[in-house]
Amino acid sequence: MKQGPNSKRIEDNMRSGPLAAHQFLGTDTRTLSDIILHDQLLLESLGLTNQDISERMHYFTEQLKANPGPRVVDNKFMAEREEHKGAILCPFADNVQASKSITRVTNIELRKTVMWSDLNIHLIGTHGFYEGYGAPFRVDPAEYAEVLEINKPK
Amino acid sequence: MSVLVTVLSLSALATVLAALVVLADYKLNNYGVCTININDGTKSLEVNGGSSLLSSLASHKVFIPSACGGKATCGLCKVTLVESAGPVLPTEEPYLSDEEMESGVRLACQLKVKHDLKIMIPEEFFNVRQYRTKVEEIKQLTHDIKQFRFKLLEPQAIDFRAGQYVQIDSKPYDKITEAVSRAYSVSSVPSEKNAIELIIRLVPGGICTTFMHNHVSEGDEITFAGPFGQFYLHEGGDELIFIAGGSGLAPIRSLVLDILEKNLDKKIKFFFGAVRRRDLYYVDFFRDLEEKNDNFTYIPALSGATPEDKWDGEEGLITDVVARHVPDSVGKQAYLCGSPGMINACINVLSKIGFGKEAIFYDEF
Repeated sequence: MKQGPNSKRIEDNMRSGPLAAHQFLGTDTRTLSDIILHDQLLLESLGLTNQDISERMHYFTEQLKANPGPRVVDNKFMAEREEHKGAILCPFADNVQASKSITRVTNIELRKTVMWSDLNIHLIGTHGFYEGYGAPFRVDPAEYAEVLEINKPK
Repeated sequence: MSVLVTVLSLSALATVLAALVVLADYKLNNYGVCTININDGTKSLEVNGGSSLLSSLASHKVFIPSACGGKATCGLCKVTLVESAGPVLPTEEPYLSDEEMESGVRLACQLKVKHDLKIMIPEEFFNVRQYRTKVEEIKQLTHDIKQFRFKLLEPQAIDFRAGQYVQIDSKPYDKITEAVSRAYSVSSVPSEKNAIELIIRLVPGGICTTFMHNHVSEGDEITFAGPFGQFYLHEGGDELIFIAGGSGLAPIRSLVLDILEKNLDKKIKFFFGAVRRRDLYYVDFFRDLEEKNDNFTYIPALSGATPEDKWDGEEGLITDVVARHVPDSVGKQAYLCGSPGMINACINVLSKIGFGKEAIFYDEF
């Protein structure tokens, strides 16, 4: 998919790494637009939206702010929040910034864990961006849906 | 033939357009030499216009605190403009109160020097220096926290107050093409003038912490600027409540050592919160201090201890532990250092106990 000059600039910003050491695109060689489009199609096949995913992430993160755990949430999940000082800017240059803190949630029955930073909630909810393959904070939308038990609305 | 002519014509046109863009950029963004007048003429600097006020001042060895290195994510680099320099930018707004905006306060990292400026900064910023150092020792304190000891090369001595911080300059590495500077509190005692120690926790994805943890070795040269900050011992308070988590132990260690070394008549209670046993460090060090000093009490606590931790100390959130041990606020001051979540939770608990804002101190980065 062709991308406009703005997407190209944002992609360059993500690859050159002035904002985060881990690189938002990891080892992914696809364009930013292709990464977002691919995840969007996957999400649609699950019958979910980016907001379904980001709201569920927000649910866990907010619960852990008062008590970072690790602790059991809803009798199904082991969740913890690793708090870090400092903030990170959204690479989409929309002046949004988020704390560097990290949330980890394990689905006890499935024995699978997903991890995200506070910024990922914004990246997914607002930009539909799940990061590129090989990026440490990349989580496949289907994996979020499975581990966090996000079901298709009836 | 006509294809070749078309290609050549288009190439020539593109070259002319590119040259025009470069020329326009040079003309429009060339602000010439600008004068920055600081504190009513205490210092006057001539800088090439076009850069941020923060970097323009730093290039003349005037260092303004900036924990984020100029990314507008910390809000520390506040300066006051005597004359307006245009509207406040959206990137500055979250960090400025209405009162500050009215009185001309701006973020130096966001303000571009385009013409002569008159600014006011706290006098102590003139004492901030840039130091060239050699990494003398690196110690792994926990699975994600390291301590770095820097021997000062130039200048060879530093004056700072216990609790203050310095800003380390990283260097490009791997795919990171830019150097950044980040703030870290000094953990060593101020009486040691020729070296400082910093305690740095690895932040996943953090540019500077990744640099320090994975790309710095003993013997490397590192620069930093400092000292900065007002998280030092303030007047008053017969009893000091220190609360820290993670790498927040650093300034508290410096404060405790300084107070004990100066033999100040203060009672100290130091609460350190961690999740598991593996997150605790300097336990023997502080227990030893406790044994030798009647006025010092050390209370480490785990919020997520498991049987494997074999922990028989305090358990629960650090806020609950503080509430159990601090019945009132009479004659007390509280000094907090940790994550924003921990600091906010502690402020809530301390307020309920009766601590006023004037008796609670913490660094805002």
